[in-house]
Amino acid sequence: MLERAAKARTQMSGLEAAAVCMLLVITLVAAAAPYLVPADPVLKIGEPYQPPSLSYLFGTDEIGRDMLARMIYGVRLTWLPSLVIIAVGVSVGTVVGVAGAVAGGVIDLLLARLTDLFIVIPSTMIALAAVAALGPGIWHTVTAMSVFWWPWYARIVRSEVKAVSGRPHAEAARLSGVRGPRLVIRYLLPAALPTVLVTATLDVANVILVLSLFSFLGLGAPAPAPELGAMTARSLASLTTHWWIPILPAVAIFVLVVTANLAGDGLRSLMKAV
Amino acid sequence: MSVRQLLAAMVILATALCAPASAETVLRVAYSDDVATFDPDDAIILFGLDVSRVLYEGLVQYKPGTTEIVGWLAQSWSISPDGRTYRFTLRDGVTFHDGRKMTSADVLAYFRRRKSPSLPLSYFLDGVKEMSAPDPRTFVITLTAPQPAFLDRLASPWAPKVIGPGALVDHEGGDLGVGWLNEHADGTGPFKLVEMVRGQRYVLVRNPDYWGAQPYFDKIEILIVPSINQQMLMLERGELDIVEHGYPFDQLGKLPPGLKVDAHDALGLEMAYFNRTKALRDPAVRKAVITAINPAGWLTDVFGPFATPARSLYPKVMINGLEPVTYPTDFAAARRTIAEAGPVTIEIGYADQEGPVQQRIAEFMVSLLKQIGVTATVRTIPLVEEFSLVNNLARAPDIFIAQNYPDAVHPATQTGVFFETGAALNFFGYSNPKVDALSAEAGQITSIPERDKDYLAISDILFADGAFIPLADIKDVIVYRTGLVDLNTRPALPWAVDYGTIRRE
Repeated sequence: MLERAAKARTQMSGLEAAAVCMLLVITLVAAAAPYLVPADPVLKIGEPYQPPSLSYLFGTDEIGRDMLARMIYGVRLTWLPSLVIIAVGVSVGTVVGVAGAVAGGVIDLLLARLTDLFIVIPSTMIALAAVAALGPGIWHTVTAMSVFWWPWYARIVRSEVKAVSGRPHAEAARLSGVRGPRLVIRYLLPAALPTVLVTATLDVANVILVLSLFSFLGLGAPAPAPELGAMTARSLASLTTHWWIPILPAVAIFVLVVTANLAGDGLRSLMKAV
Repeated sequence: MSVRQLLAAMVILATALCAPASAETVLRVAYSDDVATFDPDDAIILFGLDVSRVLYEGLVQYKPGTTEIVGWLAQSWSISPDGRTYRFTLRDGVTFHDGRKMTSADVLAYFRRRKSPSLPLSYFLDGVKEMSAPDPRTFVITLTAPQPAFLDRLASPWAPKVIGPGALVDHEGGDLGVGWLNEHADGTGPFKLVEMVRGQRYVLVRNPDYWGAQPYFDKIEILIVPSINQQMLMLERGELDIVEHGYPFDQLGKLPPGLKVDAHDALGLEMAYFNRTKALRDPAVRKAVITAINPAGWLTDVFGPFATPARSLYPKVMINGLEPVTYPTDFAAARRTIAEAGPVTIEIGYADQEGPVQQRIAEFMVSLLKQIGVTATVRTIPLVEEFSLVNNLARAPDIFIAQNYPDAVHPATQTGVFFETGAALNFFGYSNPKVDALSAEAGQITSIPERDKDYLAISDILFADGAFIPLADIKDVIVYRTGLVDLNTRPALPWAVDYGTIRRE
């Protein structure tokens, strides 16, 4: 076992390991944002348009609010909802995938077609329309995205569970009288989970980008919530005169996405090795 | 002539023939939004007023740079001693764009159309009892009761402007010509509309038969460019001559070389409307909120030198000579009031026509409100939603902020549109019989100081009630390429230069 763990470490590149660590730090910072920020992200703390300096590390925005505080909260408002959307997608997809694979027959066919339907419809566009109709709000966005984020997970889980259920250990469990939820939880699902988790890790980057798109279009949390996409969108006119206001939140999105992608690659390497 | 010379001459001739029309005679302007229609009776527009007034002309207009009313299609006019009959002597030699000569019968036919209740701007002629054209150059309007604001209504940017029989008879179409006028024009102005591609561009060309001085420019191209950033770039590159509205205030101080600013006093008044049915039901909470949103806390940051604190609920161009409104300033008392009231959460809506500026004001307010313990969020209110706010006050924001433009310079046009019971832009349905009575009384007074006294009393009542909050008088700012002169802006004409007079030095 120790040998396998050591092998896994050697298979995860240094960059990927750093990304995993960075992701942990980001999660901690997002969770503890209220205790970490140097100032209230909504309060005017200085003159507007102050460039980055020792007084204001990331400068101040067009209202005179601290950009560092707003970006820490911005990461929180992007990262935590991304995790929620992925968690909902994985949960719903797992339930649908397992139900289809275990039940088989007409139920499997119906669930598979339902999954296909959700995959082929332009989900992001429909989610955008739904949020526009419900009104901007972070929970409206999370709900609308979660509704469309499960089908790929359902498909993966279904095929993995189907493949696993024909293997000897599953056959043996059945012959020894194991049925229903116990069979699924103890013998089928554990084999499918690694693939799902790796997919989910890589998928976080997509969710971050879509969430940022919603926020960029003004469909995220109501202003003046410090959402990264919205911060960039609202201050584009300042690009040539006060570059740090639109650029820094965009850089934060970039860093989040790249880190999530690298960390996903790292976890995949780890899973393969283990 | 040698063959070489002949070839050279041919090349020069071909170059001259193939070259585009000289840019010197074309004025290029951008609008951020499509214009609903240039039909002067069918819609309140802001972008497009400058086009409308060079296609169509009214009886009277405001003189450039002032609020003085001068003749336009009317050469002169007289008002009867009882203030009810207006007799206009029309200018001679005026023709419509289709070449027909204008007579008082055409003016009468047009004014009858304007009075049709199906047209949204028919209210400008409310109180008109009868109209007549006793001879080809005389047009008479008789009112049911004196209206000291009537001439101002006729000089308003949205005033009746005469449409020719080419539209009203030849293309009447069973809808008063509304359909045809959506994309055509038949007026008397110095320019003709020759192309209207919605969402892209409108093209006007000089009217060679215009009765007045010929414009300098042969052609005006209006481009629809929704992004102000793109407009700024186009202006800098010389692809546009003027940005008439929306240039960010914080960038006016460091314009690229070759650009100039025209900033003039205007009727634009920044105002906050309070929805007094939800979180702001309690007068003490309203007073605390007013303490926090005092424009002294954000005015200079948002507008720089291009705005001044409001002096009343009437723009300073309308009623001048006053001190700025006095706001309560005791933040500690405001904090105590909110603490006693319990958690106060409000929503601030802002008009999307002025999106970036209004959002900035709203976010300054959020920051200031937080200092007294009020939690606030901000959202944009689309134009179509503004007019239905009154129908669902429970879902409407607690505060709505907007830059407002009254119909004309007379204070009755501000009171009648915003403050009276049932007024079109009384967004949260405020009603106060005392205000209505004072407004009715002031509307009959011809002495300006006496009249203004009543209107200022109305302003005080509305402010004390926490229903309408005057915030700032905002200058109209136009950015243009150096070399353009005679812009002839008017305080009562928002976002507009005079295409009839503007020229290059």
